[in-house]
Amino acid sequence: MSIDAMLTVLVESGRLVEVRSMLGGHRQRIVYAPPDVLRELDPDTACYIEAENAGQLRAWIEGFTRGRRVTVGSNNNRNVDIKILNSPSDEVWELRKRDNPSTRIFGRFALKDIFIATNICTSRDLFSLQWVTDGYIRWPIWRKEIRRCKAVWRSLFVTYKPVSGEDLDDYLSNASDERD
Amino acid sequence: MTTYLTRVMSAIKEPKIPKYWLGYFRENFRGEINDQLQEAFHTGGATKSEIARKLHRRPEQITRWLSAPCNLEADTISDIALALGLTPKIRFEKVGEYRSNEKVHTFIERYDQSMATGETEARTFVVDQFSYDVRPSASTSQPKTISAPISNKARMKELVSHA
Repeated sequence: MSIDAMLTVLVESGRLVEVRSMLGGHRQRIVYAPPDVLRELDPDTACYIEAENAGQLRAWIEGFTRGRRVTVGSNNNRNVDIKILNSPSDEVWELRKRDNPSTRIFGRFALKDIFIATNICTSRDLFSLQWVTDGYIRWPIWRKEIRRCKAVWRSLFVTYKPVSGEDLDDYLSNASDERD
Repeated sequence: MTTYLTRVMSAIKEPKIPKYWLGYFRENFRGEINDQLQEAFHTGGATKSEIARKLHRRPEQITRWLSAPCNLEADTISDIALALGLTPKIRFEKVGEYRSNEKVHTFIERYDQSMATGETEARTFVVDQFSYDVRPSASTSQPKTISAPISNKARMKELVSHA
């Protein structure tokens, strides 16, 4: 069975749900998320205190799915919309909503332009000044989220591998490299 | 999608619009501005450093403004547009106005098609797997004899007769 078919099984069974534009529009890219992640983005189930942020994040993801031009960059660039995290062979990516409150959506590409969002975190939950003073090279919570992403992927796709490519075009359309 | 639209319509009629929808529409508007600026920048032919020079700014600032939806001031939008030889116009439309949706990922097209016909590779796989799982094996092919449950009264009778 191909990964397409596996994805179809997961969507049919409701283990992955499409984050679809609530007001319609193109569906050039697709973001699928497990129901518990989607709950954080839904108008009825989003936490009330964070409701405004949840609404913003949902609209941001919808812009991505409608095919908005995105900038892809390396691990140390802060002005990009999406980047692959260290180590690249893990194929764990983060979608970066940069304006306040800045949020990171971790996930992997199942197919070109199909992103599986596995976990969401706000930046303030990912960083701690203490780590800078302690001289950490890799942020502990960041590593934890990467491991969590891989674990969620394994629970869904079992042994199927995410997209692994040489070129940006293998992952995304309408994307530009930070260096362009 | 229709259900969402109904929810938006009822939400904006409430005395206080829920915060979720405020955030949602703000981000949508920021995205719209960013899309328009990006398009103007790519069709305009000017480089970021040229725009920066015209606006007495550093090129990194222009990159930051253009690279992602953000809360740009009206003055900033006007400045960028002017540097591109344009003037921005704002237009209001009703919530839920028709949005073009002809660009659809091929996976979704295939998925929708297979849902309509009821035949998916996945479903075939699941059916095959199911029929494989329920095949009678050597150990389970013989029907088991299951004794009928004995009522308490019958059990008592049995015990009494033994006594």
